[in-house]
Amino acid sequence: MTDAAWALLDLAPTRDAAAIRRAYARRLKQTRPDDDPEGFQALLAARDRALAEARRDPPDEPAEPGDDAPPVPEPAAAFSPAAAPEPAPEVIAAPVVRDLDPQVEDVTPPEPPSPVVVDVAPLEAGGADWAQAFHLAEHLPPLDRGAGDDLADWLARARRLPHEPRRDLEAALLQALFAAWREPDGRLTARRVAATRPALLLAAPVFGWPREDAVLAASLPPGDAALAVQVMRDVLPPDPDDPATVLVWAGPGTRLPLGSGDARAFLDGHPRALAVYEALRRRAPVPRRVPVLALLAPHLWAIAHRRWGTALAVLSGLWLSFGLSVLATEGEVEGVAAGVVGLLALAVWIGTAGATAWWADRILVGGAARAARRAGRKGVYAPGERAARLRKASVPIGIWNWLLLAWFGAFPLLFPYAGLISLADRLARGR
Amino acid sequence: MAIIGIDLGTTNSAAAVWTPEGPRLIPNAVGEPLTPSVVGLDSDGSVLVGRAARERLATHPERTVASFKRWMGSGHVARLGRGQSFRPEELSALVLKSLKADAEAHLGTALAEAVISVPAYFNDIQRKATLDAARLAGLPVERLVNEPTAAALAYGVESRREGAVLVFDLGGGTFDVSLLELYEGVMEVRATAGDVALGGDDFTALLAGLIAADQGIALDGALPPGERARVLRVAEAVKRGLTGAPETRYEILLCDRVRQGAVARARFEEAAAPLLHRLRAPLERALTDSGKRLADLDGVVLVGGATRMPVIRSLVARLFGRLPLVHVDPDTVVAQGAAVQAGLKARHAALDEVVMTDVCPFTLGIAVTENARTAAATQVMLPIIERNAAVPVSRAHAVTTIHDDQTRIAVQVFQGESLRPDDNVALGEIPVTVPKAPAGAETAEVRFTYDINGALEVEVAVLSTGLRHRQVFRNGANLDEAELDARFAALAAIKLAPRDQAENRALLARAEALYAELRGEMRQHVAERVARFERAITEASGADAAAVRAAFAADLDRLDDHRFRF
Repeated sequence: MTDAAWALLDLAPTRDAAAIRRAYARRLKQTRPDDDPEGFQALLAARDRALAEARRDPPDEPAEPGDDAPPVPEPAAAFSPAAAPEPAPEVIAAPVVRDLDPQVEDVTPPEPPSPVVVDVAPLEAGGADWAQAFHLAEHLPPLDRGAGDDLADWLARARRLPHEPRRDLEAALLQALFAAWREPDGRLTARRVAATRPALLLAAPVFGWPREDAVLAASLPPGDAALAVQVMRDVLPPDPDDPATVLVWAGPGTRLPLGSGDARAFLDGHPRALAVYEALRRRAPVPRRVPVLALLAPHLWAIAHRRWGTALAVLSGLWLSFGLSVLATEGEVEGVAAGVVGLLALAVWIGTAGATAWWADRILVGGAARAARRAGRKGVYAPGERAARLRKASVPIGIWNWLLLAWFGAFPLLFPYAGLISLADRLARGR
Repeated sequence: MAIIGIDLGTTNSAAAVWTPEGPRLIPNAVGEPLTPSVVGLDSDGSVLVGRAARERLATHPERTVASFKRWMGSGHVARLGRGQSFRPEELSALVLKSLKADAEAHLGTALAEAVISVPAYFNDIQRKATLDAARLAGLPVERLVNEPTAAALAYGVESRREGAVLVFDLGGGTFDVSLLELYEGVMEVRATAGDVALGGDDFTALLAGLIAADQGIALDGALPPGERARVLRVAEAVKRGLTGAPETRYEILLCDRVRQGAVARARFEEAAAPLLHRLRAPLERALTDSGKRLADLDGVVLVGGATRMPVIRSLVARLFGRLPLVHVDPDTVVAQGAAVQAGLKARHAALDEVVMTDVCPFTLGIAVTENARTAAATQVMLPIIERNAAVPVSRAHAVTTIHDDQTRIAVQVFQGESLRPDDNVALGEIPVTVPKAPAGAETAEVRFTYDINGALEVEVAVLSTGLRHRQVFRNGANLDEAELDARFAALAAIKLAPRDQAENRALLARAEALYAELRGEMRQHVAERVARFERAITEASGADAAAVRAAFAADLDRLDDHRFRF
């Protein structure tokens, strides 16, 4: 393809089909077919040649945004727990929905959520099924007020349909729901969402909501799709059987199920926390832009996120270790016993630190839960506003708090080393 | 000065205007967005258009004509009453005139221009006939837009969604499929296919055949036109009834006897199988031509009144494996799209970021002879513009002489997909003279230029002499300039029924149709109501008149309901 053709498209030679189409769209608006027939044909020919070349000889690298193309934000990559970067599929303005699996044990990439299989339905959709689907799609029961028997009946009929018509009905229902969430002026408000809550609770078990692929199939505009998932996650109680749900201890005998949405909402508002979380998930080196103290001990960093109960447990563990090591140093016990006490002190310290590090992301999720609940449950579901609320809910720890932490935290951190030294000393002297 | 978009349909026409908020439909004199494409002559010689004329189809079949869009571009002449005959262009012009009057009354300004939609498969001659109709109506029209493209425009501007969309447009008389790609404000028509002789009317005719068979009569020339119109009317009502119910009962007065019957949806669908089968070929062609697979489609949009039929919807769902998106208003979406095109043409600011590119839906070419020296020399089609090329497009091809000392090349222009020119539509012929020379020595370049309105210009240049012949086709079926002027004058002299009377006339015509259909007591009932209405309307004025009309219409609705039970 000649330089002139690329010049016509106003584009540096590329094999990225999406970029070619974007360039064509941009140039077409200056070369309208009714004003400039020849120019239009030339532009069209240039585009078709460029696209043909791109098809024949696809780019070897995974689609990298070109220099002239606006960078594609890639939040999904940051979340992917897999170590090896996989080639990103070509995504044109599709909503990127992140998947987050807060279970530390699981380092394999999470499987895509499988659609709920309703076993009563036949596999093959016949004409009658489609006719039925049509009828149902056109007779959606009211969703916003008093959704009851009508909707239950509608859902019962929908779930008997084969997969494909059911998928489309699901999309139709989602679109209707999304419309019902909006005020006449287009705002999404908690009042409207609350009005559809009964309907959503009825429909969720039938379709296995919240499912991100369902929202994608409903082909809502990209921004709205992410919002829709978020709203569904907020309204629907997390499913304890869902592997993406974490049960968080919330008092004696109480386990609070937390959906991944809660954690995500929190992490979205805390880039640093996100970075550390990532590092923990991947067992990768912790990024540099983390507070030095957090590098020293993950549990300190948990304290920074106001897990005061955890902090107390951690400190107790450390003081215990300190006490034991002092016992060994001061010569209260003699001979082999001193060595045992010293080792015990070391074990308690390592255990406390290790357990905190091990559970750090659960601690994080717990913090996430509280922040998300504070931020999300009131008022407007606009993403921007939500982020602002999250930021407000997590005031950074002030200098005095840090000093306090340093005072209480640094000593126990240092003492185990003292214990270690005295143990070595004692062993040396004993010989 | 406004630019409006007009959908000149087979059964109904509509007009819409572009506003910054989007296309807005223009109501007619009766206050409805749809004006039936029916023209009738009243007893006093004035011309009735729209609802009033449609109601008279059953009572005055010899003075009323419908579905004349199907004759556009042919020499067919409709006779109305005694002595008055109209060409399809003129009948269309009368509908356009009525739409123009409605638009001017509604907008309060004169019209600067109009954009008219035509079926994508309309050929050059039919497009010219449509332009002639506009000219006869005194409506300046520079731009024609293909109906499925218009529907897609309305859909694209309205939804602002991106992706590949298939528009399935089954109107009253034509079937069109368009495959579009929407991205970054560009609406690119990738392929168009269709069937010019397949539409909702065919389904009505099918039902009429079923009803006639049930009642033991033959639906042929022997049946008086009035009875025939009545059967079609009942068939239409049954068709609409079957959309909502699995079985529809009807009652019809035929051969002086009231007959009753019922049609079940299953039976109708079984009988419609051959028609449904014909829907497949254009769908397949559009998909193949666009190079898309079924899985690449992001949506199927149903347009046109006939797509309300459940049988069509379930067919589309089965073929595409998904529920089609049904446009909220399948009857008027084409008019709205034409208004969007009008807005594009006027360069409205709201449409600044929108560009539409269309395609030429059929192959255009010339007849050539290959292997002239062998015995089996036959003429074949040489395609110059292949179907679904983006328009405006200009392509050239060189042809040479095949005989020694040949002095003349006849460039015959055809439209169609067949290899044999005879099977294609002949558009015209350009004879050019060439100097005497050995076979193959003289070359002529044939250039086809197809513009955004679907007008074809052919230019033949003889290379050795530099002679150029340029021709825009108007063949025998089209009117020539002098004729056009004469007809324009004649049409201007015809008086359309006054606008303010339109509503009364429509109601009266409906009452007359009802009267013809009913018998006995009910009939007297109608006659009484008519007399009362006529008395009341002469005395009433303004708001009172509206009340009188509403009451009369409600009476008629009640009487009508009595006849059809769904």
